[in-house]
Amino acid sequence: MRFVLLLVLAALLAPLPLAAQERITPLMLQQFGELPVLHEGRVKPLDSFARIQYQAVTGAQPADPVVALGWLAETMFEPATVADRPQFLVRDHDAARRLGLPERADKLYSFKELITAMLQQKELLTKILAAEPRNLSSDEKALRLLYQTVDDFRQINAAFSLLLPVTMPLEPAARATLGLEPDAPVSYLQLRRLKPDVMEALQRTMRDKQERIADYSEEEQRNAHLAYQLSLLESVGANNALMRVIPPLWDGEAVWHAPWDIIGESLAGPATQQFFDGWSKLARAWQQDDPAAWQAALTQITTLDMQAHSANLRPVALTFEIMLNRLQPFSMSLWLMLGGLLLLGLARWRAPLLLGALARSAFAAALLIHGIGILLRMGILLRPPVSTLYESTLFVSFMALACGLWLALRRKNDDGLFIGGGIAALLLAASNVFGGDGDTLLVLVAVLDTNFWLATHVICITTGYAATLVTGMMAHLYLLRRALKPQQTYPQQLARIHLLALFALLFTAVGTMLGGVWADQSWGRFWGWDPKENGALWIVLWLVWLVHGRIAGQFGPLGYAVGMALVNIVVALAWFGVNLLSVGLHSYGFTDAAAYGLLGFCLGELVLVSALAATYFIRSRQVAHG
Amino acid sequence: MAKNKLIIGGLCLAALALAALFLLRPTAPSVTTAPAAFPAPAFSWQDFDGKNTALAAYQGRVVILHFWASWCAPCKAEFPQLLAAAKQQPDVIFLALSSDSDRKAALQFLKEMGAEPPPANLLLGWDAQKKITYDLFMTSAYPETIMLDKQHRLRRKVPGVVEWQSPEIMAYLARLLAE
Repeated sequence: MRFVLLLVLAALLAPLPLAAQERITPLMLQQFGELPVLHEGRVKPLDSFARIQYQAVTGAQPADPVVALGWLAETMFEPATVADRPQFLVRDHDAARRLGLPERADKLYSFKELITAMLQQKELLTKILAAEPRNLSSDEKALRLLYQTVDDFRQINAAFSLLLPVTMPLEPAARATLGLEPDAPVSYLQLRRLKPDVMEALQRTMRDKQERIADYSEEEQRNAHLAYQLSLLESVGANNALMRVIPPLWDGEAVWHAPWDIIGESLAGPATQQFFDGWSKLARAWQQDDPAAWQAALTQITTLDMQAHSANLRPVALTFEIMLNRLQPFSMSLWLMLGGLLLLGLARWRAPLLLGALARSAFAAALLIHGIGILLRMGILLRPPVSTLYESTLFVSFMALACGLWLALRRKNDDGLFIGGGIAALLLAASNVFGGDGDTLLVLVAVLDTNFWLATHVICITTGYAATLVTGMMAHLYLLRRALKPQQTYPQQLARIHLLALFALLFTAVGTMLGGVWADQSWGRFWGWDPKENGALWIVLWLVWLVHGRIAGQFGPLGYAVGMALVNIVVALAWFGVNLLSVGLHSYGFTDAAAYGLLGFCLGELVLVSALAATYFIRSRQVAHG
Repeated sequence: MAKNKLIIGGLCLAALALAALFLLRPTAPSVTTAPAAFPAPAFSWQDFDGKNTALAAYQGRVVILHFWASWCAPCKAEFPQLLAAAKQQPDVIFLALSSDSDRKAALQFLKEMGAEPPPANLLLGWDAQKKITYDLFMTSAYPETIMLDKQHRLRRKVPGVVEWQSPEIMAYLARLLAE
């Protein structure tokens, strides 16, 4: 129903004449992106909000930083213009078919098409929305996601409709009451002033004449019509609380408000009016492409935001987040790492000194930029960089690269750099899977929200993961070398693996114990056989078993290396696998992509390590037999 | 070997330093902290006899703005409580602004409520044009109450009926008076 009302509203909204000489520049749009909005429990810049919503609708990353902001401004301030534009990407063919959408090569549909289709399939959608997500098929999941995306778009589209002019025939008497010129545009916010009198008059009429409209006088009919139009406009704003751009303004309030939501909750006041005035001017400036008015409105809103002094608005965090959005440090770092890997590879054949130095520089730059990215995230969230699976992936990637660079610089060993850089690049690429399409700067669940334990237990254990992965990959390289030259024993390399294994064991063991202390403080028990706890213990036990076996002489160099190479599987299962079980206190839910990726990784590792070991045995026999 | 120990020790120290950094630094401020208050707009109102009074005349006093209309049923339920609160809190100024277009209906309402004559700290205003009620304070549903502190800053808004005798409201008013 809300969708239908929105279409009605779109028809009512009056396009304003375009009369601008100069235009709103990308720089001015960037300033618009600096305005704060409360979204998913966190105050973030509109820049981030626009990127998230743009990507959800179009399925694409914005090509240019201002593209998403322009898209957002247009969606908010020109609601009628965007309703017919095919911009929603419906990837899932079955979902499109179940909605009765026509087949299209580009899979793009307009808001109007989608809401029309969704209204026709109301029963299906109601059933899907009421069902447990885990019980839904893949096309039903896609439909559910599409519904949420369309609903978010609806809310953005109508967020400021109360401030925008509507083309509604208004009686001269009503215009006079509002102090409006005969042709002056009028918004819902202005019309709302008439509401108490209109409703009072309607109540009187209804009391005397009930619903016998034929008995109504002309004035009563006009009043009833105005009451209907007001209720229609209000219905469009119902359940519209996504664009929370107005900070709390009264004592005891903590929540930011969306324009319609503040009206619906009767929490508007003189300060709200100043905000409305600023946003109204901003909308008008956008419609008229008036840069001076746009700048003035932005200044007005920013000043008000600062004046409101909301407790959960930290201007420095907004600045950091905008820097993070514009710099895209993790993408930049990934490209540098890939470049470094390429240079390292080339250095084996040509100009090893020059290309090796260039590769090390590329990795050092990648580490620096990666570190800046992690620091920016810490500055935004005010917590250590290891609170979610995505963050831990970024951090382990950073530590693996640091480990590789340390090996390269201190031990003059580019194998370590190749391995550390390779792991770091792989993890950084994989982090996109865990980051998903939405916000990666998530608000933590209460149980995890303790900086001391995040900074000790999680940092310690993830450093242990990184060291273990580097050890595992060094063992791969050792096996490869032995397979190629079975007669060589490479004792130095084995010693390096052993040293790294001890380092990894120290951090995983201490981290696991710290986790137990945290669990004791939070949940009243040191150990609960939670899958994540068991996972951490597996890594420790695996490393203890191998190290102990090596020291006691139970494992030969090759057995030790095979065991160490397989530690990667243990880390992958303990780190990612337990999160997919949907049980325990560390479960973040099952995702198909992660599950298949993990399965592929484990099988691939088994095959690779077995193949390397088998090749070694075959070739060493050939060598032995002459 | 000594070098390895040094490196491992250094890393452990770095981890501890990071932990200390996060342990010692203040956490993000609580979201329940009161926002900074905006000043109330300057305005003046007319009573039912046409006498003008400005809000500025009550500078330094806590002012409660109460918006009502005679045809509003919840207003009828609340007004006696408001009257009692005004008598209990002589240091607080209560300004009850009627949005009635019909002066007689508003006066009849006040008579029925026993607010004629009102206590000295209960000021009555008539805002038929809604210039204060809607144009300044955006009130279009009744009753609504806005509380101003001694500096006449906008501190709290209560849509709907206020439980004037509730300990929470009494404590809040006491807090405003004590500031």
